[in-house]
Amino acid sequence: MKMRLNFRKGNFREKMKKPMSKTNLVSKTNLVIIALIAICLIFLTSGCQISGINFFNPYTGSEGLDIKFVQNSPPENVYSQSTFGVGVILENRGALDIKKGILVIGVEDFGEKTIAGNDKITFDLYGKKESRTYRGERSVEFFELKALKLESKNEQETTVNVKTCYDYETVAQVPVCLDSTINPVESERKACTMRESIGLSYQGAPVAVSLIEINRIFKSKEKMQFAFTLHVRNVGDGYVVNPDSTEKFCSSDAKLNESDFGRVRVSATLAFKELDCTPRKSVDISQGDDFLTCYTEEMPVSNNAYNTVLNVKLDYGYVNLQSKTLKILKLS
Amino acid sequence: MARQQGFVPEDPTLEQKEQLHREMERDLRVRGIKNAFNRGRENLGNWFNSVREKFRRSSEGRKALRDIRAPLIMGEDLPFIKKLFFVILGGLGSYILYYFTGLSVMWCIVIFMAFTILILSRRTTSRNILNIIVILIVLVGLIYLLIMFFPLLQVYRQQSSQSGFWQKTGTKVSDFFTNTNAAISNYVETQVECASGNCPRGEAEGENVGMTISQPQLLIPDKEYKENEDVTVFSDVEGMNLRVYDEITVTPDCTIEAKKGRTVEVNKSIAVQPSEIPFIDISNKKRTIRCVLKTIQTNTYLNKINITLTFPFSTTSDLKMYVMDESRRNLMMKMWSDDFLYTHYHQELDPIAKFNDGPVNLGISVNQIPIAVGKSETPAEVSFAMFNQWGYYGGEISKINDIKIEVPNGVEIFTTTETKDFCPFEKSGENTYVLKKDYEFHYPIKTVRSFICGLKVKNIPDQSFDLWMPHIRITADYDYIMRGQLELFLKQPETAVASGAEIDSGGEQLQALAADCSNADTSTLPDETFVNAYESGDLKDRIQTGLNNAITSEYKPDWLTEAQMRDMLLGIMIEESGVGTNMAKNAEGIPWHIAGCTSEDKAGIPLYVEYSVEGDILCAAERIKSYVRESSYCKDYVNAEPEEKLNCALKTYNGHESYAVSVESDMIQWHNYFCSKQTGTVVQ
Repeated sequence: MKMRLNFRKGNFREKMKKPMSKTNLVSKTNLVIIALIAICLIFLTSGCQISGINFFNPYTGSEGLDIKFVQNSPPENVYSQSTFGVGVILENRGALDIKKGILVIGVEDFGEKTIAGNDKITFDLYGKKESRTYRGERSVEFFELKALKLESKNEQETTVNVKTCYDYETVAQVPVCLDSTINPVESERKACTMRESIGLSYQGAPVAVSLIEINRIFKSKEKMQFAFTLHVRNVGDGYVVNPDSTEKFCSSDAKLNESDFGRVRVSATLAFKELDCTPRKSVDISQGDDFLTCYTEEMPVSNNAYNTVLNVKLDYGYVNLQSKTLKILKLS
Repeated sequence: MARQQGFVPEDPTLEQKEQLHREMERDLRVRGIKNAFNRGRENLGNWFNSVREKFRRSSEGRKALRDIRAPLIMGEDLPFIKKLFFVILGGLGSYILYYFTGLSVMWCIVIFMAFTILILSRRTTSRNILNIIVILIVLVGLIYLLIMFFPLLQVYRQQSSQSGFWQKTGTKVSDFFTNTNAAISNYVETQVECASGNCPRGEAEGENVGMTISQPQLLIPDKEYKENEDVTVFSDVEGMNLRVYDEITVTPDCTIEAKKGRTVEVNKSIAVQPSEIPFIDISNKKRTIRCVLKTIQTNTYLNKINITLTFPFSTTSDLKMYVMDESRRNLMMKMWSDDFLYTHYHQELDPIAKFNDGPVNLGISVNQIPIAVGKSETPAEVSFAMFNQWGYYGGEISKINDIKIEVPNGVEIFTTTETKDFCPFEKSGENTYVLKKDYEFHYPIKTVRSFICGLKVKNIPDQSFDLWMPHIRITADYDYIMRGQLELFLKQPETAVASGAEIDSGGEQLQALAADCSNADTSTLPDETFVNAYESGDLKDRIQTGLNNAITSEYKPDWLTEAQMRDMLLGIMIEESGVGTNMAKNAEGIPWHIAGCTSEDKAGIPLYVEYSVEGDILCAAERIKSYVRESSYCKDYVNAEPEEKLNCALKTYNGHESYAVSVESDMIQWHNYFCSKQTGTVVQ
């Protein structure tokens, strides 16, 4: 009996002395620490950090309207004189809305009317800014086509072409540091340091402000102004047209002029004050890129530097083309 | 060894398929080498062409080329010598000027090289200058050789390979000049026709198709034929992927021709077998054409045998055109240069006409891309050309039945003063133009014929898409002929065997075969199987047809009577049937192949062709006859007794004396059989 009691006591004490009790304690602590770390990680990766948060920004990417054919519509092969559908998916991948865009469809034909109904439609699609997602509005348009007649040949290739014309805007909001000091001293401490050249990424549109050069122009000891040279580029896979002539490019009979190509209207504000971009007010990027200089009002020379935001707005028309080749087979 | 022919259009046997496969593989290897060779030549030629094309496309070039082309085309119906003369006088100077205008860069290089050598030598002595002149002459000579004579050599080589020129030995000098004449003629014709750069080529769509005809062969190649004697020739025809044109039928024909003084006499074939061959029967299969012709008496003892295949064909080609408002096109070109169609419309800049593959490559091109619709004073031109693309295989266009041009709505073609000779078309419907009825081509067309017409777009259809892409479609219906040719030298009369009269039989065996049945032993007859085959069953008609042909035609030797000939062939039939144990047999167990005439592949492996009993009998008969002559194996027996002649021929036929003895025994059995039946000597 005694023996048994001792055994039990001894056993209990031994158990209490064993690292087992410590392990339990440590594991509880560990659990707490692990839980805390996990919560922190979740917190950090979820973007809810107070500083450096990645907010959704619609003004990213180089695309505007994206055109695709619906899968198997048109099909790869169609029979001679059969009717088939052509589906076109339109998706606004740009930041801003497309209003009254035009889509025309063209097809190689051989003397017969191959498109049933209208070969031209208009469309509206809101952009990423409106949808607050990484994708703007999407729509699908269908056309009915008739394959041409094959007589002696067994097959023939043909191409379906789709063209879209729409007006679009690019908005670039660029934080800039402006220093109106005549002879800045490096050791002197200021609110910010002015950069004379700022390279920009795309702004959620097929036309982008790629570079901003900032120059100080001193008129006298007391008066100066800033000059902003804005470099504009076509970064999309279509071509830029004058926003006043966009419709003409989706029409076969409208007369075009040289000035209908590549024109981009440019306007800019600095802290809600409009910059003077005269005399041109527009750039011609029909050959790829161009630049324009806008000026601030004259302002007094001071020893200060300050942060502000330069807003640049580009207005233009944009034309995209998409095509698909299919085979017409003779029904024997 | 003579080739055996198949007369019945049945599916090929496994052996034939394997043979076909081997031939195709070999053909592919040869083509591979040929292609590599051609690629090398093309690379060199491409550089010349690129420079020349720039000149052609310039407005000055186009004008100059039109001026050059007109007098050349006018002379196209002249004989070759006159044409050459005409070309030299009428336009060769300007033609060469044109041809070599594009080579100015090369001349610069030559002169530069010469002066470099001169400067490097640092001594401008008269001797150096002389050296430079020599170098220049050599370089110029080499360049001319490369440009002018190399293509000629190519054409000549191709033509000669078709006619088997290279395979022959001891070819006459006249053959060389004849072939060279044809090669030069074709070359000049192509250059003349395409001088102004209006020979666009198209791209074949779908499966490639093709047809070849082999060089004709004599049924008995080692026989010497006499004047006015029947001669049998055969040729193989094979097609590739012709199944798609199952409605087309080929008409084979044969002629034999010979020069008689200033005229050429032509004998048509006595018999052609088969008379028609559907395309589907030769689609990836081989068929044999057999012709019987009569030789022509001529001083040169040279007869030319032609086996021809004629068939109608229709080639359709279509080309995508681009049409735009003139002011818009001009503006687009100004804004984005000439390639705006590619950069801004994602369209191919130089569309190629697509045609259904066949004997003719039908290419189309339009000189304005895109065509402008407006007040432009320079109308567009559409040019198209019919290239004979099976010329290498001995084909040519024998007749153009019609050419139809279909244009889109609002488009019309017209002739201008510049194009009137080259645009022989008249309106036939709303959007269709056809060849003028009175327009005459100069047949045959061996190389190319080209056409140029003005093209006017009156209006663009009401469409919103600013680039109109209509198609122009051209269909040519024509007759095409493919030719295989063989030259046959006849035996000269003074060397011919004098006796054509029947020699009385003297030997025991032949006496036994004679019509006299006095010594017939009716108890010794041929095996029942063969008697049954002769009297009834599947082989009856075939055996009797073969025997009839052999006995009543040129195959029967003069020294055998009809009855002897019949018995001999039936004897051979029994012997050969016993040899061919591994061959296909009929219901009675008799091999279809009975007489031992086999074709062989290039490796010398015999090919047993089924269902050719008639051919086998003829073949055996011809051999027996041909072996006994002055220049052949039994030449020592020419004046011997018929029995000895036959013994020699039979021994030579199979190579063993025992064979001759066996055949002789079988012959006697057949003699007994006919005597027992009391039949006449003419086989029914």
